Amino acid sequence: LVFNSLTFIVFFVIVVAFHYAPFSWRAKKFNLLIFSYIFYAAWNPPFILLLWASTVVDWWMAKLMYREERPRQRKHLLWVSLALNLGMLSYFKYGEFALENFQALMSAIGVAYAPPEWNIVLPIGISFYTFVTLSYTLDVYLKRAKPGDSFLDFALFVTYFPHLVAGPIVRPIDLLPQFATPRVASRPLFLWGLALIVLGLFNKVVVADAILAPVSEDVFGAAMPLPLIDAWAGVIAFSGQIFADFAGYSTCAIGVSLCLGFSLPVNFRYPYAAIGFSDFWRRWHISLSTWLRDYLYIPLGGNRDGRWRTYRNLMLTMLLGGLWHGANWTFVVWGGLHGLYLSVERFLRERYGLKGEPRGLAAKLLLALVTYLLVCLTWVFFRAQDFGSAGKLLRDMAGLSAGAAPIIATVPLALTLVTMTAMLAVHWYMRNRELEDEVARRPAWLVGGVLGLMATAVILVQGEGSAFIYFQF
Amino acid sequence: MAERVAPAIDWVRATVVALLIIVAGVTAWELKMRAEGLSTRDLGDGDSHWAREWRRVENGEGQAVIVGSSRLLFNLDPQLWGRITGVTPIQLSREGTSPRAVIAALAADPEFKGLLIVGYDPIPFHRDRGLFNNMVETAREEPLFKRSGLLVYDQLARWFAFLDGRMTPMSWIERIDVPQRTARGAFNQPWKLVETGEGRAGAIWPRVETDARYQAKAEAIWMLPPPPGVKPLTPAQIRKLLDKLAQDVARIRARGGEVVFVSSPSEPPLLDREKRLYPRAVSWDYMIRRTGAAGIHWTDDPVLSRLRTVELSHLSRADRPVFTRRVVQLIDAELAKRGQALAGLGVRPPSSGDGAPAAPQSGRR
Repeated sequence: LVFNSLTFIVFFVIVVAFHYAPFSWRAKKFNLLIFSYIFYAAWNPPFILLLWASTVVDWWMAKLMYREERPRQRKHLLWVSLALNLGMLSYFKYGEFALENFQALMSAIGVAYAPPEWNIVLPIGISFYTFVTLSYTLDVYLKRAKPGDSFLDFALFVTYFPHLVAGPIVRPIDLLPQFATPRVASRPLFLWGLALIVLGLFNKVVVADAILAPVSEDVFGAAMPLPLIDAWAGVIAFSGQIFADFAGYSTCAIGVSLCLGFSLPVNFRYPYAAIGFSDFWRRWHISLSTWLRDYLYIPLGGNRDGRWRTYRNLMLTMLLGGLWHGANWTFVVWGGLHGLYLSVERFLRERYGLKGEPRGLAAKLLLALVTYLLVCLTWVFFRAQDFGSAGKLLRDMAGLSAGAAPIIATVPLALTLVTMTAMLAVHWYMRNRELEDEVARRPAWLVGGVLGLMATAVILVQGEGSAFIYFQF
Repeated sequence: MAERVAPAIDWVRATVVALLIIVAGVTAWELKMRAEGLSTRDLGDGDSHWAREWRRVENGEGQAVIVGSSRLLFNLDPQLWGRITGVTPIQLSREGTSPRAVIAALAADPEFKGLLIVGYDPIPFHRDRGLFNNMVETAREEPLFKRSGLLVYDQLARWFAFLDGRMTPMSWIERIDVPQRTARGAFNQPWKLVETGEGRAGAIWPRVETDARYQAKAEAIWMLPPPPGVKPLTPAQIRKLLDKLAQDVARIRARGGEVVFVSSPSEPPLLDREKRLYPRAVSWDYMIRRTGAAGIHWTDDPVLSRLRTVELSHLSRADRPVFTRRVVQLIDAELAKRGQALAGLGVRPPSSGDGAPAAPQSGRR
């Protein structure tokens, strides 16, 4: 189920009605669990079995691990959890990719190998809930947390529908304590939740799908050479599209959850105002970057074993982070570029003793712009179907396609320019501010007016309930 | 993680203001769209509508199925067809899209043994990619929530004309008259040509017939330069794709189904372009010969060749029943020539009253 669908409106009304009906707290949690399964089954019902398998196995592995003192046995139990979760992820997400690469490898050494046809549908959100359940068993294994006391709470933590298919990737500490005691939203919190849903839907339906997606799709889908302006417009449009799409989903998820009385962690913090790449990753898909930091980068050694090992750890973390997004070498290159950027930034900071941000506004703006443009280059690999398309687009962006005919009409080009300028300006203005504080400083009629306009735009633009980009990951 | 708190403002007041703006904005847009010519008769036609009809075929309801591009979608009246023959065909045509992929999917379905009426609009017919691609795969993989969402949409569409969705504020902005830097774009396209009712029964949108400026814009799209990178097919390429089509047709016919190709009227200069790109001898004649299927070409029939289009490509609403009745009659006659009958396909042949073609009514103004 997607938030921007008519079915979701009906679903949400029913969920809220049940949640605010006079049931016991246990019954309410049970209702939420059932509704979460329905939410997931609305895509493809059989894949619920994977979710159940992951939930049951991780619940028991964590319990057994907690009781077990012997390190070797604890490690075996962890391996069971890793094998199940990463095994499912590998089979569904990377099976075809592995076979294709194996075939290419065999072909390179002169062995003709025809892999079997791989018609496996990717279970929606598998990368997200795999990381959610893994964080639970890893925390227990690393003795950072105790296993939960209630299977119902744990199942709800894994399956809770607002975060289930596209995050934020919650940790046990984020949600399990909230399930312990009865919760409902106060009227202001409920209405603030609705306001966040409107904001999220505006980002997704209007900004991402209606304004920016057509331009980026035309440019990334173009087989012929493009003028420099069109190429850059398409890439910049995609940078805005993917932000508005994904941050829009996260904002909806936070809003929906808030209407039910639960807080979810922030997932985006105005990333295109980042100054440098470590700043970018503190602002972009925060729940993933912190997950990778805590469960991959730090266990690899982090920055504790010298400069070169730090660079190696950064690269490994970002390469795997790239692969997490999709089974394609283009995603690996995307991650590799970010790893490279982070390493170069670290090197420059150490080499020149740079700490924090530059003081002057001009220097800050310049560095933020450089960061944004370098991030845009990585989006070329993220969005392109293959290296051939990415290379062609990079050549277009370098102005090497002289005489190419433009493909973006005047108005969509102007809309892209206006939208992206506005988006970057908002990110810059909000970079050290909180949305709640900004809203609290405005009069109620203005807040209502802006939300009313956004909601009207969402209703009028509608769309066909297209899936959020990050669902495919 | 810190607990979230709501900003301290008067949320009730903010909500009232927001609701007032939503009601005012939606009402204003609804009124504007009705003034533009939209009506609640139009029940919309998105991917989910097509998928719903496709599932009917997969569920064994496909005694008669129409596939094609816009001409059979606009020109054939499935309800009238149903009244004449006793079986209302399932409408699977889609604008700007070749029916060949759908024919291939039907050929691969061993349960499909019905009458397949194939629209032949030369330009989209030969394309591999059209306005809508992978329709069958999309329909098969359509998640449950989209199916249930369509039920909600069906109810809302009977109340709100703007839900048509082809003219959104965004598409309105895209049509602002400014100097253009490209040859193609939304700015030189009409935003709507078809009105769709129950079961995806299409007919040309009344405004195309009544608004001369809009009609001129609709005519102009057929003569736009092709999208960048699109090249005309060579005769060898045409033969190759028609050979593949012949295999699909043979599979359907081998299990008792029947396939009939129908070509609908078009007019110069679009007709000239079609003849130049896909000469009849290379395409239509070869296809009919190679498939062995019945073919009804509008230029071969005195009634159909008298029909005039509204905007070079589609018939008027008044001529839609004329076209439908005549096509039913011709199909029945074609099948009779082969020792078959519509009745043999579970379809009642046309009675003399229903099947008599009326005189053409209108056309371009």
